[in-house]
Amino acid sequence: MRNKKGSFDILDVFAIIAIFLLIATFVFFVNILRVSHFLQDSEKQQIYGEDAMGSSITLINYLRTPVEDGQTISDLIITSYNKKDYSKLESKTRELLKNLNSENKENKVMLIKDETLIKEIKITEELSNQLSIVKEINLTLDNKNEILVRWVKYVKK
Amino acid sequence: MKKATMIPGEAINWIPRLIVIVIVFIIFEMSILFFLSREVNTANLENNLVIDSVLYSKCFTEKPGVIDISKISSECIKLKDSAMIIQIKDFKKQTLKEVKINEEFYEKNKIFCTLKEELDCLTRTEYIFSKQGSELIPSIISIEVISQNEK
Repeated sequence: MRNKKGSFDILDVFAIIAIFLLIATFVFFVNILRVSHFLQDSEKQQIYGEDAMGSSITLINYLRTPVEDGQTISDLIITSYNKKDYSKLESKTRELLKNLNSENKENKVMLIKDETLIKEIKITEELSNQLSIVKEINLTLDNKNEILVRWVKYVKK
Repeated sequence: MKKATMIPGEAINWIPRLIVIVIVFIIFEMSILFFLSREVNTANLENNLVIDSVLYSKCFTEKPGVIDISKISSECIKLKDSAMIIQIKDFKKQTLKEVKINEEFYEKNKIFCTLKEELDCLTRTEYIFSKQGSELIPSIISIEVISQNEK
């Protein structure tokens, strides 16, 4: 900028130097950090697809599993809730979980009504350092209320 | 003369301000770069998508979770730079069906799953019903995928 006398002000020179300095530091840091991969190593994020995708085939098939007299597990859940007797459901589910659990994977079933856990069926205690994948389905009861069936799969990381 | 001596004095006052501005700018850059350069590993997500394409394939599934084992074959699944092993076993651990896609790639890379960064390996099991004729057999499907990433 020119002052009233038409010559450059010395403060303008400092401002221009400051802008160049800021651009130079920006370019310098971008290049240094890209070359060294310093930032890439410091922040890694893993997206687990099974959890994100919502594939609930195991849960759907659990509910479809035939029990007896043409009944399925989903019918048994409703009957058990109405009778407040989960012994048959527990034995059938445990039998199934024994076949589905493996060295790296543990499964458990939870029944939830009005945000209150009414039944939890599992074979082993969940281990630490495991990733849990949760799938849920609502079952409609006779009186139009719903019961939430939650399938939790623990996978070793 | 008086005015000329005042300008350099003012300029000297700018130096500490400039240093502060530069430090603030560097911190600002660092925080932006830290966010921008975050590495997101989507290998697990990609492999799960491939597995889902098998589980929901119209080629051999009647409805989700029910697989017709007479229809399942390697011709239904096309893969590039990856391999897949599908195993269906009943609850007595007897193999009902095994399908291998890009077997050569699988055999070549399987042992390097944990060693090579450019390989992504994933095994997923699901509880399914295998259709054999009119019979539905409760079974476990195990799908193993080995894929090459672009690192």
